[in-house]
Amino acid sequence: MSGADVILEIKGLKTHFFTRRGVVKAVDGVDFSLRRGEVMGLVGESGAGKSITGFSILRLIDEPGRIVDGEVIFEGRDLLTVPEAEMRRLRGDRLAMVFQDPQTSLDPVFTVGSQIVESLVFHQSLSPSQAGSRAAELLRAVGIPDAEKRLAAYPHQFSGGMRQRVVVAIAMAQNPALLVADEPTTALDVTIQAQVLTLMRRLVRNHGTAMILITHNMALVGQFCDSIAVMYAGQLIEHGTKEKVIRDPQHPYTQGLIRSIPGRQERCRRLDQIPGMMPNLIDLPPGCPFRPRCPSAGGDCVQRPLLRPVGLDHQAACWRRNRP
Amino acid sequence: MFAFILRRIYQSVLVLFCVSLVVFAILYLSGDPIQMLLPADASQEQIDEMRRHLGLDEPFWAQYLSFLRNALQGDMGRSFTFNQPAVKLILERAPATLELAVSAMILAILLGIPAGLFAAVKPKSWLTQIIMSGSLFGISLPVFWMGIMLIMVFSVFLGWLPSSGRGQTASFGGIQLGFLTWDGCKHLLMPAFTLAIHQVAMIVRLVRAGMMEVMLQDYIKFLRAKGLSERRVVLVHALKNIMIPVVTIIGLQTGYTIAFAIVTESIFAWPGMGKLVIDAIHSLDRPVILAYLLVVALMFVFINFMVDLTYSFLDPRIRLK
Amino acid sequence: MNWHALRESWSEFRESPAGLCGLFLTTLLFLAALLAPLLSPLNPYDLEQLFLENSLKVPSLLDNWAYESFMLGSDGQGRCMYSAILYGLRISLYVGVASTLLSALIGTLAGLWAGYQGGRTDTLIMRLADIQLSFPAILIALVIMSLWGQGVGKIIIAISAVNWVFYARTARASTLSEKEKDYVDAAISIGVSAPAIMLSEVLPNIMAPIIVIGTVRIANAILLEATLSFLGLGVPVTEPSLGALVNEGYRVLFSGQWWVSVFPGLALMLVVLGINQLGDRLRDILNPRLKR
Repeated sequence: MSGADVILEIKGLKTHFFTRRGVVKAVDGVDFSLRRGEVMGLVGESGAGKSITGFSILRLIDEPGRIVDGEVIFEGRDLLTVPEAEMRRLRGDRLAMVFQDPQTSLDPVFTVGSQIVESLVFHQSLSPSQAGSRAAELLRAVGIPDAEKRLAAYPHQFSGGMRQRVVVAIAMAQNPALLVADEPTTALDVTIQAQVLTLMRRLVRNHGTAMILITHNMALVGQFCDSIAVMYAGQLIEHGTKEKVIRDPQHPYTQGLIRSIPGRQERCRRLDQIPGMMPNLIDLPPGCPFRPRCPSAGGDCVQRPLLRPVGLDHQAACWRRNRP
Repeated sequence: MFAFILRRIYQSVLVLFCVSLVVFAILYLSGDPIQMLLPADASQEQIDEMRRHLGLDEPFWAQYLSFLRNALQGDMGRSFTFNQPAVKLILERAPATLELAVSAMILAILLGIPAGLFAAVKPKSWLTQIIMSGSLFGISLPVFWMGIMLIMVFSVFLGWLPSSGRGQTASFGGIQLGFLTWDGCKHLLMPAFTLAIHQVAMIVRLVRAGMMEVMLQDYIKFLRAKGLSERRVVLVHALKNIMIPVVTIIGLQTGYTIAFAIVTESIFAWPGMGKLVIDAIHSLDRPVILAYLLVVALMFVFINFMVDLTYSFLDPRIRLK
Repeated sequence: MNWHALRESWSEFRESPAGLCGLFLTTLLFLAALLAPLLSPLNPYDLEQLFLENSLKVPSLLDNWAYESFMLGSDGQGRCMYSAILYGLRISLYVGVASTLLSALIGTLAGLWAGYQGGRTDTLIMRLADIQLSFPAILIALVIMSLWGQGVGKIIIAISAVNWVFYARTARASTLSEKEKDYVDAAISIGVSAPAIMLSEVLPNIMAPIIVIGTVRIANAILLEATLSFLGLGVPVTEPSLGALVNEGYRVLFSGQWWVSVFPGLALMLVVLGINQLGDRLRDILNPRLKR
């Protein structure tokens, strides 16, 4: 998992939220890297820190959150040290993001066209008429019929799936090098989900864009990603190629996740669940965060396990990886 | 769009009808104006004669219907004290009140919106602390006391500004307006400021609360993810999103300002319809009170109507319904 | 709300100096009003104690810093301003609290009823509220007072007639969302009557927003009373409230007797400010929507 075409490398990223109840360590030491054009699934249950990781890459963390430590090296530069004005030029240009809920990610009181055009004008300094025809092109590329006319429509006049296509069109407008997609289809109907994801994968493949697909849906990851990273309680606990992680999961949590995917061949089997709940991120006990729920926890688990190689292109953070 | 306007007109007429009925009923039940009109030693025949003359001997519904019929023709009776048509008295004084109310609202908007925006965007600035405590004082200040304090400082102690009246006015399109002359402006300053303080505070609080809520929305984050500048995110996108509640409150507050001008006008002896109606209340001049309430209700309905129209320009979701 | 939640709210409340300041001001002025007969050097209602040679005395505090009669000067009738303010505060607060309780009672019941019954009852009550809201409160109160004449009881009723709308709207909105919950269905299924469900099941669950509205509206009710009394349409002059005292001061302002209008207005502003600070803080704590 290394080489010249690494486009993003995250080292020791920590994003904490300073609330009145205490410090929430939403992301607490995450390392991974991504190659040009790679589609990585970032999975975990809600509250595991997946979205915060995604927002941290674009430095879009609101108060009371703060990126306290780490490096986000993108195209050779550490984004955490880049001045804000330069960061703005990168956002929406080299780095783009798609949000969870298409109902809320477009400004309701502006036309879809004007929302596409404004970023074209900002990033490419196009004239309004050039930007208009480029916007129509973009809408056509994401499969919206009657694109010229739809530019004048408002977000509420689109269906959920169509709206997410608009969001994707805006995100892909500048052929970004990295697209962070935060649960892009969770709010959509199942049939629409597959359509939108297929579209997104086609677009990133065509443009050589790397994508981080943040989701809690293990099945989607298996279908659409090249590699998988699993997060638990603010930490990365397993990372590897799709085949390795799904066929041969090393961390007990990942094993539990995979057992809970409804399989096609074993229709009558009861789905397994992982007992217990993710711990409170404020006073996280030292050591392995999964220890309280882990079926095979032992004395050495009071030390925090670090992510280490368990095979070719496969890493896990568990002391017991040899005894599944 | 046309159907929308028609429906709003229908609703407005309904509201006006209700107001006229309620107001008339209250005044009807409020006792006999005859005692005010005739000397205490008037004979029973004189009283009966007066009553017949004014139509006060008829039953409630008959009185109301004739009142309504006349009102639709712009006739709401003659003032008992001035012996002039009540509507004429009110309309003569309306420009003074409107000038005061509109100046106060403009002042409130110019001060309130920028201050509220600033307080929302820079919550930790020292200026925000000042703005927010200022607005808390603003909603806690008794308006009438504020006016008196201004008079005390600027008229009694310093002698800079006049404490009463409208000063010199100039005619504009047949209407006498004070702000066209320097003297008029000096007279307008304190009353308008007094009337505006409460509104500034309300607008600041509303704009700030609205902005803080909008700034948490996903689309704001998405706009930032597009790389837009913070200035554009706040001043173009967020601002347009809070304009609906802001316009609503501005409309509502304009109406309140017209009503609250009663207080300001009686402190600054401003010759508007508020001062007229306070005098009318003290002298039980029923037609003037009625005419005032209906004229104000009409203004209210008109303002609400304008607010609704503005909505449909501001929010596409309303436009198409 | 149980004991633990109350303690948690209190520890949150303590964090804001503004909220504490509001609590302090409010408590102080309520105590002053309550203890007015003990605190005031003279009884402002006792005509035997009024002497014309005492009229329009300059505040004695300007000369020596002592707690005595006429420390805040006197008015045209020789009334000690400090005593008059304490008694005036008493009336202002009494009117504010009483009208708030009355309007909260009427408004909450109306809103509860409208929300729970729905249909025509709902339409009728809420239409009435809409029409009333499209008309400025001060005019409604003004009309009522101008017809009835002055009086403490009358002004309480007039202010309640204006303010019930706010409680009604809040209560209705909360009732509509509570009505959908399972406990209401459960009560219906075991045959509890509608009034019993409303009062003993739904009502306790909608109290939090009502309390928040209540603190904000008390301040408003006090200001409305003061304004009406200032205009001469509130409480009778024999028992002046703070607004009536300011009105009296206004008449002697131009001859330089500033203290008659300054001090009562200051007291009025402080009490309203305290309640508003308290109300803002309570709203922040009790409104879960603002929490993050």
